Amino acid sequence: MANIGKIIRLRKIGLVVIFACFILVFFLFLAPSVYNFFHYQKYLPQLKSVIISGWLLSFLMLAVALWRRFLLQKAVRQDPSVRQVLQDEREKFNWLRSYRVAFFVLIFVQFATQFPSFLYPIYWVSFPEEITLSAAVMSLVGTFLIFNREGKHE
Amino acid sequence: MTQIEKIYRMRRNVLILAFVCSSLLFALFVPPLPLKSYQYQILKMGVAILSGILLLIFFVRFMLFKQSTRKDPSLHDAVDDERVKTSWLRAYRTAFYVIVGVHIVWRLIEPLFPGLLFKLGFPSAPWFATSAGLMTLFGMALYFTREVKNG
Repeated sequence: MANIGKIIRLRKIGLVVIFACFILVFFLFLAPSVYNFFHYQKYLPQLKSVIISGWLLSFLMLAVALWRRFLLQKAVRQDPSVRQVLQDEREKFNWLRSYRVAFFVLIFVQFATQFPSFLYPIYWVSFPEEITLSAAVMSLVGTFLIFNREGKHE
Repeated sequence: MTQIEKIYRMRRNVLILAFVCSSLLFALFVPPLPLKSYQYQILKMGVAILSGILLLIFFVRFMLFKQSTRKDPSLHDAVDDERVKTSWLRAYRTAFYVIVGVHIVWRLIEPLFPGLLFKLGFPSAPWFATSAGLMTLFGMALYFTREVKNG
């Protein structure tokens, strides 16, 4: 049982880390676009390194997420009782509810990034796809953390 | 036909309507057909107007459906049970992955073939991804709800 408690705690910490890193990734991609919007035609070469660090961090986080998934699968395979605790119905339902919220967040972010171009068509503002993708992961993981906390208190 | 069956059929019809409407919207954003530009513009406008009308009908029918279930709480419980809710949530999950997938493909194509998507007449990614996502959402909801009915 102590092992299960440890796995649950580790998983929660992992999700929190992924969530925090994707918030950072989101802002790393958002910052150059916002800068370009307010300082049109004054491109800073340093912005390129900000974007590269965003890519590196997101690739690193994806690798961490895959590694965590592999470890969890391994733990489940070793001990079937862990599966009952980690993959129960409520947990699955919470993930599905998170997908619904993330879907609407995706739709909203997609159009929010297009909005400045509608407002000021004279400026060339480009919001990269990375903003939308990081917002999707961020909302998915964040919402799951909230729903899972709700489930814990019930 | 019982009231519940009637409601089920009504919901399926509403979903089919929404699916057709979103498919038409998606068709609006696929690459241009081999038509002269003015013919294509007329076609696009026709599809947009048709989608708008269908969307309006969809909302009216959806409101009627909601009203009919609100009148009778037991009917509401029978129609909106846990399995139907789960089916909807699964449809949302699929639509989420479709939108994410479209964005990833878009992001990969842009640097590899610069200007290709613009030349082919694709709109910006959000419009394309949203129409694809909506089509998937309604299509998957229809598919999963059918599973519930059969199960």
